[in-house]
Amino acid sequence: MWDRIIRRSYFIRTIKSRGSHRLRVAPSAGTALGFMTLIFFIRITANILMIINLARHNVRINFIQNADIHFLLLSAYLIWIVPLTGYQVSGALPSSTFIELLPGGKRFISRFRIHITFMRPVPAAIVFLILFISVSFSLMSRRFFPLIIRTSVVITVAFSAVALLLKVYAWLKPSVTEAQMLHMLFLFILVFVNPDISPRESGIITVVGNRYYELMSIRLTVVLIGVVILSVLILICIIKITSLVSDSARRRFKLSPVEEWYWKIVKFRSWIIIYFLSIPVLFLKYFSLRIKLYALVFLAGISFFSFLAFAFHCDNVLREKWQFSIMEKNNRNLLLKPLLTHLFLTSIPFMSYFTVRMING
Amino acid sequence: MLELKDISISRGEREIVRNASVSAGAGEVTALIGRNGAGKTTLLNCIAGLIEKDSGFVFLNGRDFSLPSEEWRKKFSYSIDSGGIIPVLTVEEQLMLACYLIGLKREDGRLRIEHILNTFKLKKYRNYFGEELSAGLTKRLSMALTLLKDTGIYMYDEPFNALDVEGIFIFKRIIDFLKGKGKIVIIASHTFPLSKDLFSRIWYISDGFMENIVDPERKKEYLGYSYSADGDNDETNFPWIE
Repeated sequence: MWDRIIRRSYFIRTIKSRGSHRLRVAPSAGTALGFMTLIFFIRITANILMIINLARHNVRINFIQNADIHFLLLSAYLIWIVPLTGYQVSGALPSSTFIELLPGGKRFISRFRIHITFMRPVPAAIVFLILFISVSFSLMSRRFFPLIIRTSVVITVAFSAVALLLKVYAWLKPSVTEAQMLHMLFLFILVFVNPDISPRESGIITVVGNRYYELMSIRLTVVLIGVVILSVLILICIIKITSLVSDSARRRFKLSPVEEWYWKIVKFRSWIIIYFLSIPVLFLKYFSLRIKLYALVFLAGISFFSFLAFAFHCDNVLREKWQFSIMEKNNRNLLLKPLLTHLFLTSIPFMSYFTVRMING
Repeated sequence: MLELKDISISRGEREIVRNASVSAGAGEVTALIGRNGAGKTTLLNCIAGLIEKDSGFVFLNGRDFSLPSEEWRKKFSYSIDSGGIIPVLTVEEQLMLACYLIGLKREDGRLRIEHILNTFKLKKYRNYFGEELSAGLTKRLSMALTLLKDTGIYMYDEPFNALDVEGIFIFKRIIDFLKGKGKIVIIASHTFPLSKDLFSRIWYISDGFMENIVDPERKKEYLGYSYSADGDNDETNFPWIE
């Protein structure tokens, strides 16, 4: 046993293969995330195959532009999702173990984190897809140089960003919930930004806003990847700051137990993220009135169902543990304060939108 | 000699220790005592570099180790309260991993592990996973891990939690051994089922203040009741610890 064991890779592989990550990931969230990942990959693969098929039928295709937008999406996945998954899974190595206390322990943990981040099927699939796009598009367009340059630049920038974000996560230590929230949010964005072939010059069209995008310079692609990296850093900072603010506010203000419960389930940072996402949609002229109204309806729906989920959760727990129902006529007033808070928080984007509209006439 | 000078530690808005200065000498066993939540674990974690201190210095034999470094990690062994073991590795694998990280040669590591498994009566549990161990066995393994390397300081957080009488006897023998070898031993606990005479000094921590108690009468007063393991005269030895 000893002869094959005393190697770092043995321990890393053993810890990984014995499924320590099962300790960290909630099964329901894992299933939802897995499903969205599958949709994303199917969409990208279908696009690539469609482009190849169209080109074989002598349709004029803008290969560079198509490659760029797919590189951008795949590297966004790599930058957003892969370090988050890696961070969550590597967290399965419990914090404060004897490893940290031994010389070389920090290095071991860092290697474990890198191994568990990169040696997984998803990063491999992304690299495969990037290379596949590069090779197939080069062959079909007979323009090798621009695509080889783009491929190497994208892979280098994306993997460097992943390494950087792993460091940031190790330093900021987002909680499991925070990490899962970010994970879900990024996947939603990626799944909803569907690139499609445009009838116009066979470039790229996306379903968000039905706009035609021209992405012909490598510099622009790299800048956009930079925007993707910055968005992660900004979001993680916002989440961390709101966590700190809400924690200290909870200690300062005296809240009723149901209100405490409300803030524990419907977190303050969730509202911040909702505002963060809804503000550009509601106030930028880029989005049509119809999309703005859809966003408001969507917001109202989220608000309604989140409060319903909170109320039912309280009721279920109280019924099970104390044989007490919060939904009964005499007890409903306990929900009044959380309801008013919830309505106030929901009304903020609505009020801001209509106020701005009234001011602008 | 280990010296903590003007150490201040806080967690959030709460001040755990304020400008505390204490010391522990070679061949001394120090009892770190205080009420629940007084900050005993926080102080040990701070010495080990697991958490940051607000200010202050840590000196070992006159050398400044205020900033945690790889070199500092070579100077101490620490058994944390929760055990700090890995759920998915077996007892033997955890010891092997520790040997690997310490940088022991294969043969040396094998010998030490066998010796440790014997001393802590863990031999029949060598293929048990960390998550399968009872609290007492976890504690034994955690203590065993501290003895794989020869360091100047040995720190134990709540070593008596969940330990059975046999475990306490083993621990007492180890403390006697380390004391005899001139090591600095710090034990944080609420209760001390060991002879009061074993302890050379007490670090008493309360409401942000720390006191260094060496007076024998005051020591007895602070240590409270004691359970003597003096009847146990078996000897123990770790050849690599000089």
